[in-house]
Amino acid sequence: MSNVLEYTFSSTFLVATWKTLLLTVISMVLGIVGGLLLALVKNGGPAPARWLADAYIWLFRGTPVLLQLIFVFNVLPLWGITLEAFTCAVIALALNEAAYMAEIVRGGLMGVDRGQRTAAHMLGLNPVQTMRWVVLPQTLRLVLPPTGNQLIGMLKTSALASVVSVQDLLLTAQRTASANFDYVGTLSAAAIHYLVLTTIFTLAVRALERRLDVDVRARKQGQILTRETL
Amino acid sequence: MTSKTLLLRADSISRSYHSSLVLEDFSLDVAQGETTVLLGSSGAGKSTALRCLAGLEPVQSGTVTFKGKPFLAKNNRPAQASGAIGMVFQQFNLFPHLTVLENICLAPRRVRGQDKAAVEKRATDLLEKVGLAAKAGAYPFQLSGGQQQRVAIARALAMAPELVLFDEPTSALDPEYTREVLQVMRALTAEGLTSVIVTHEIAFARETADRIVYMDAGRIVEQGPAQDIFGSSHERTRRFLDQALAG
Repeated sequence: MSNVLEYTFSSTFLVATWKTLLLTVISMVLGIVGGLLLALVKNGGPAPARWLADAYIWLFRGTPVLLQLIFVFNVLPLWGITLEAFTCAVIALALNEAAYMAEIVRGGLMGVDRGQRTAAHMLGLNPVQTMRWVVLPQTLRLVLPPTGNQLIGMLKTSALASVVSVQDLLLTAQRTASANFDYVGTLSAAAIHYLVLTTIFTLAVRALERRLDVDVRARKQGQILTRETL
Repeated sequence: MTSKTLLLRADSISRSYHSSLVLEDFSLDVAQGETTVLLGSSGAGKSTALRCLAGLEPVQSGTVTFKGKPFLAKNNRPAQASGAIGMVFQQFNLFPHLTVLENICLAPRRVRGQDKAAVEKRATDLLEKVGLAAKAGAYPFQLSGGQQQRVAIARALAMAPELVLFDEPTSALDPEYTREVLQVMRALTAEGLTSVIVTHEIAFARETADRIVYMDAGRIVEQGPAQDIFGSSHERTRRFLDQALAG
């Protein structure tokens, strides 16, 4: 047990966790941006662009992310592109995530009432302004819970990067164990780190949800006016 | 009446969904300062007519011109709106993530690029006008239906439209809220706002309309000055009005 605590607070593990965190967050941010672009294309792009987006989603959801990761790591060098293992992992995870986020964002866009766009249109807002000021802010609220899910999923999927030698939390735990055979201690310490990150993500998403909730915003303004009290 | 400036003209427009004709040979002239009310039972094509006038729906034939310029939806894309034609909807369609003030200020700020302080001042004046000055910071969900609709009217007016289209503005409201919304509309009409109103409120129509269009089954049965229509001897119009006034 004392070993677990020792590993948990060791600089080796803390550095590895930092790397896992970076890998997760960077991949997720890029995945969200990619997913948003794909969703916008699918939502209102020209037909050929929509087909391309569909093909992309079909490809990246239809093959294992581990395959994609190994593919990027091994095939890019053959094409003369040599990147760090970490960068390869980010590319593969982000490309994969974009396919899933695209469907989540598309669902969010569909969840915004059509009347909202009609009202914005009649007020003279062009499609870009309508998206920016009316539709996307409402979409954000709708997609936040599933995106939180994806973020936590990404944290755990990021462990696959250990396969292409990214010194993340899992690889660090395994390497430490292979030197001293203390699998219980090292893997337990890694599990604790993962759980701490998951908890932080969960709380962060919840805080963001509250910030976007008009009900909470209204209460902060000190105007607790519900329909009943009016 | 004829000396007034013509603002909007629909010339024999027809609209069909798939193969069924929902609006046929609809013509209407809207002069500046006039209040036009479209009457008819549900499914008569009133709202479709209004949406075509708004440029929201494509028509299969005929033309709509606003101040002499063609104004029509094409290829399922609505005609580009500039805010010159305002619209008030049955379901209010306020932006739920924005406060009342933000709802009203959004378009003048983002579309016209007007100065923030000036826009807010004007929005406050408009809220005063619809009797909701105290609700500037509230979110739509905190308001009653009647209040939401009054905010929606203020939002449309913030773009200083030359014409406002009302699509059954009180159909989703309880009677007590209907009254407050109609009161605001009455005041605006008296001030000279040009409007086309789809409504089931016959008493309101009789009182405020300059011109009445009575529709049935996608066609105009009769249209003319309000007093003529209310005194109409046309059988179908008579039956509709008698029933509506009795109800």
